[in-house]
Amino acid sequence: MAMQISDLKSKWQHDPDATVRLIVRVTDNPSAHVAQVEAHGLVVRYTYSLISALAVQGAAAAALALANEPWIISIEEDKPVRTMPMAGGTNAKPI
Amino acid sequence: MPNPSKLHPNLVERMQVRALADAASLRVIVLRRAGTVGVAANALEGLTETHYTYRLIPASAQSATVAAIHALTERDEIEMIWYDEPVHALLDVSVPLIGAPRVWEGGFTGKGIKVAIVDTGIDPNHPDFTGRIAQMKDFTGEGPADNHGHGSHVASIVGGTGAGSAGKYQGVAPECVLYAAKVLRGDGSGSTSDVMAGIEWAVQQNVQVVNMSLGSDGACDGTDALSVLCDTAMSRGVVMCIAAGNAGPGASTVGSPGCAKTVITVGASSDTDSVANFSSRGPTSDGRVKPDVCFPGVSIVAARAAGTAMGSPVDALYTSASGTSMATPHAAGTCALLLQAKPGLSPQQIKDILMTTTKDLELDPNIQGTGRAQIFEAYQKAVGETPTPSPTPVPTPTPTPGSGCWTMLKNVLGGR
Repeated sequence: MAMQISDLKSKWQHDPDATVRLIVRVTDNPSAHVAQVEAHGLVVRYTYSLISALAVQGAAAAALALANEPWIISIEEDKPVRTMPMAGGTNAKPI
Repeated sequence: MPNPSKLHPNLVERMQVRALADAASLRVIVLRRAGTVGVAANALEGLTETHYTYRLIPASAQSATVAAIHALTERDEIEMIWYDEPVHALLDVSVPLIGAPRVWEGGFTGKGIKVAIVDTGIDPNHPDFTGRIAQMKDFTGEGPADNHGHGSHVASIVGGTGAGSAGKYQGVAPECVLYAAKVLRGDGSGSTSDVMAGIEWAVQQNVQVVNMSLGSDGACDGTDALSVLCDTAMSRGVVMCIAAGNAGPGASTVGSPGCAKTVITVGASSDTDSVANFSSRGPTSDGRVKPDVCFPGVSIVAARAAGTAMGSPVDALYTSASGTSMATPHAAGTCALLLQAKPGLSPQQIKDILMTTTKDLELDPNIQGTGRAQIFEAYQKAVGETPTPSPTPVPTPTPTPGSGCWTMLKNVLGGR
């Protein structure tokens, strides 16, 4: 389950210098917000078109400031994903 | 009193993990003391069938209910009871099992249908992919080649030609057009943002089907960005086939993006039509049923990328692996066949067709979805044919169901 933004803010406040990678969903065309995101000191890694969202990276303190923007719908951590194979045998156990 | 010490741990695990009712039937190997006579089928209530009687050891392969298994442990002549573990469901077994060759006979091999593999890349030099890959794009910084092996394995299940095995390990849609978005690194991991970018790239290439044998940990409700993006791709006409995950058998173990609301979420079954213990279960954290459908995903032999050792390598060109990762490309290949047979089907129509033509494994929907997919039946429904009885029996997996090492004794000794 995704962390609530309040939980994320607490985490960022605890370690404002940490580098964070986030997926930010916005109210409208994400390209229109690239400059605003960058103005907070964050790097825009991707601007998506299927949904209104950007992938950003930067300091937690910058993310804290970004979270207060009115055009932000949600922020979630850019979670790790992985392949889903098991070992080859029939007695394979979950990895 | 039942004597649990006579139950092998593999059988105990099977009965406990699946919480089987007393009436549930299993295939077991029953070992008795030397010089004693075996318990014949029907001699005990719930002991329904003797499949093989071995000569090298005093044992037999039998079907028995859980209650009958416990009753057997009370008998002095019985020494041990094992679960008859199924073994290797090769690609040359799983593809016929779900009925793909019958669709091929109608001229539908996925020809021209664009399928994206969003994964660890594809080995373009593997003979099964010669002339098959239209585009490759790297989102990891490692380059588009598959330095893990997972993506090549998955891609060959979707649409490998089987050229490196004289056609033995042919994929479900052997004439589809492959697109490879490398979003996972050589260690098999990556980030959600790269996966999202890979999906968008695939959609921009006008692919019709996307295979995603990947995911993240933890139950979800389908509102995370990756899940929403996958749902949006579905609404734009792209069929999204997504692995349920390998966190089973516990409930609510389908992670993102398998929890997405409209995608086709795929669980893994075996060649004997049981759902794999590892296959993630529903419901989602907001209470929806998942997976949607099951496809074979246990011990699938498919392409091995050069220089990789994922799974259990069979030879230089092929390796065996299990997981919902392996079940999902069976689904993606199926979608390609259906799209060739009936162009214009929407993703939702394809999902509905797949889900309403399954073989019901009589398990909870949050374990099996609607059951194990049957491609020929799905094809018939897609093209509007009246289902007819199969002219030939459903291809029997080789080795046959219940063909663990014990059953192999039958082959050597001519048992029964």
